[in-house]
Amino acid sequence: MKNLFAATLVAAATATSALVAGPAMAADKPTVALSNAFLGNAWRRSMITAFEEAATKAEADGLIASFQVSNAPGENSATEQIAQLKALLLDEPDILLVNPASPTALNPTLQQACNMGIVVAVFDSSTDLECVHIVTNSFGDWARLSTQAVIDGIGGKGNVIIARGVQGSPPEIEMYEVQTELLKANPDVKVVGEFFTFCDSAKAQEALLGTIASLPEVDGVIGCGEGLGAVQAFQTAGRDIPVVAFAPSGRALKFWGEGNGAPGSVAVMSDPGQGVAALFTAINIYNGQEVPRTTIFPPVVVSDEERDQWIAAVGDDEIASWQWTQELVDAQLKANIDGMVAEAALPPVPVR
Amino acid sequence: MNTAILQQAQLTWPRGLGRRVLPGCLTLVAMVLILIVCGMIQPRIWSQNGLTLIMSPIVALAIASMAQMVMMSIGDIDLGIGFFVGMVTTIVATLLRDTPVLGVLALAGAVLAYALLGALVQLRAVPSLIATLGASFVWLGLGLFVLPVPGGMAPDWLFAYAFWKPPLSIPAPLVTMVAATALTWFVTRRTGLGVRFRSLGSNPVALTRSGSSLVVTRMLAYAMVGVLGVLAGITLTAEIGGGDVNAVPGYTLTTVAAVILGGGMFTGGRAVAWGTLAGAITLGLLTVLLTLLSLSSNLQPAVQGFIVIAVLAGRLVVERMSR
Repeated sequence: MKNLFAATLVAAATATSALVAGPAMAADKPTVALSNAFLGNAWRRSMITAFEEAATKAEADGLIASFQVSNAPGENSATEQIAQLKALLLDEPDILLVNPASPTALNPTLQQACNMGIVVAVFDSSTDLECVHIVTNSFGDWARLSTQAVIDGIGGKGNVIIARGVQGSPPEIEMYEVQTELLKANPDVKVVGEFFTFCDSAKAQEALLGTIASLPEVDGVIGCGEGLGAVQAFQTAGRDIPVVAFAPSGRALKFWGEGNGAPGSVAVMSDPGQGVAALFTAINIYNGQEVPRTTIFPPVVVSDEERDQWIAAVGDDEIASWQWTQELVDAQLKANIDGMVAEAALPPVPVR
Repeated sequence: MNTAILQQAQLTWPRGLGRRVLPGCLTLVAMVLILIVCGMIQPRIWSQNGLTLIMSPIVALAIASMAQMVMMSIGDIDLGIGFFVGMVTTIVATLLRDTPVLGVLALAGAVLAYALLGALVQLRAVPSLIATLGASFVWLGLGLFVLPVPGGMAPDWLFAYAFWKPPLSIPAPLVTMVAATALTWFVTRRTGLGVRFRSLGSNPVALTRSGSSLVVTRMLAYAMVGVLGVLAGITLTAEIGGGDVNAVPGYTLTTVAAVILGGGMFTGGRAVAWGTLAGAITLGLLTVLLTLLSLSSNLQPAVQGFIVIAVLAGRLVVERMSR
């Protein structure tokens, strides 16, 4: 059955290539198009800002011929993005980077792009489509980094609460498995409560305030970026502030920098610089380098010591992102090829 | 009655026709303008492949808008069409692919459910807004039950359709859209049933006096909405290659906008199939236009909204003039 699907697509591809067979590639430098599903939150805006910055520089450096960024209208709608992608396909870019609205709905459209000979890289998501390269952060890494930091922050023993993410979502299930494993390895850490906070500061504050009176002394909150709300809840209740995991947004980092959050706190989140990482990865693929179909990049981690450096580099309404360069991406790709992703060094703290 | 005035009225443009057709014509002009601008930026649009590329994402929206148009012609509004279309994609990508008989039965059941919804609205005097909003959660639940996460795969004949190339370089999406619109136009404007739909919207008392059953008429209208919704779901499955109940919640309001752009009214009694088609294509092409214009990311949503408001404002002016 799948074969017939493929066969039909190939048939379509040959037909489409009639449209494509225009001018042969003039220069070796690729043209790049980025398709983003929506622009409705700080993460996506930071992603676009980081990409535009890096792509402008790459264009000046002669790595790419030109680039265009396109944000689909609407609220993360797959059909709007399909329409947008098809309009982009008319332009026949050499590299197509996609931050998709859905892991499945774009597949026929992306297949069409592959068939036109375009290098397609999807980031911040995944897809089953064979011809597409995936550049992503691992949710396991995210959970491992933030949980380990909190466990270290409370000195390896004490009471913790687990603040869980979006109820029932696959990333949350993956993250929870990692958290449970790490807690098993640290038997002195006792879990005294579990909440679903959707990794959202306001929801965490609300959930915690409702039950805080019934909780024993809490040393740490293991979570995925709701630290600001957690700290505020403990402050409101007049309790000792625990070690928490913040979101690396400008606002949360400043709040943390003002002395809120116990020493040893951390800020972790998936990296808005993934778009840039995908750009350099795709350029390498375009230039003929062998790259694994899925490449893992590290999430953003802000530790206690580097916090003030990060605060200087992140705007108030931004999310912190790694500043990927060609060299850094090459190093990370090498780690991916060698299977050493977990040990790979993190990029340096960005400077603005 | 003054005969002079009567004669004068007969000589001028028939007012009802003007009010019905002019807004749609205005939208048609907007649509053609957008197409021309797109074509100036990207001449590759003017080919069978180019038109197929930009039109294929609009097909499902256009057919869903037909469904909404039928609903609005009887004076109701469907707040569940987005999730209904989504639910249909989940059925098409699973049941219809694996066990076609069951799939067809499930889709027929969905149409029947719509007809029953119509009976509920008529018999219990539930506002259609509430009934269809309630139904939307049922569609969502059923869709999640069939496919908890997006997936499944469209039947092979749908893939074959997606890559169908009609002769004479006619883009396939256009064929589908025009066929669906012609069907809707024929039923709503050229049959007795269509007359009953429209009088249910504009003058239910007259409909009762003429001896028709309000319940049966409303049930038939809702069934037609269901049939068009199923068609929209099938074409959407071809586009996204699988099923996803959350694929197009936005259709609920976009289809209303398409009908209004096409000359429809919230108060019912007006069936404007061709105008609605122009409205749906205009709304669908906006994404293409904005992508081709490569405007700054922050400006795009604002420009999209501005174009819609401009067309609607134009309609207001046209209606004033034709009064």
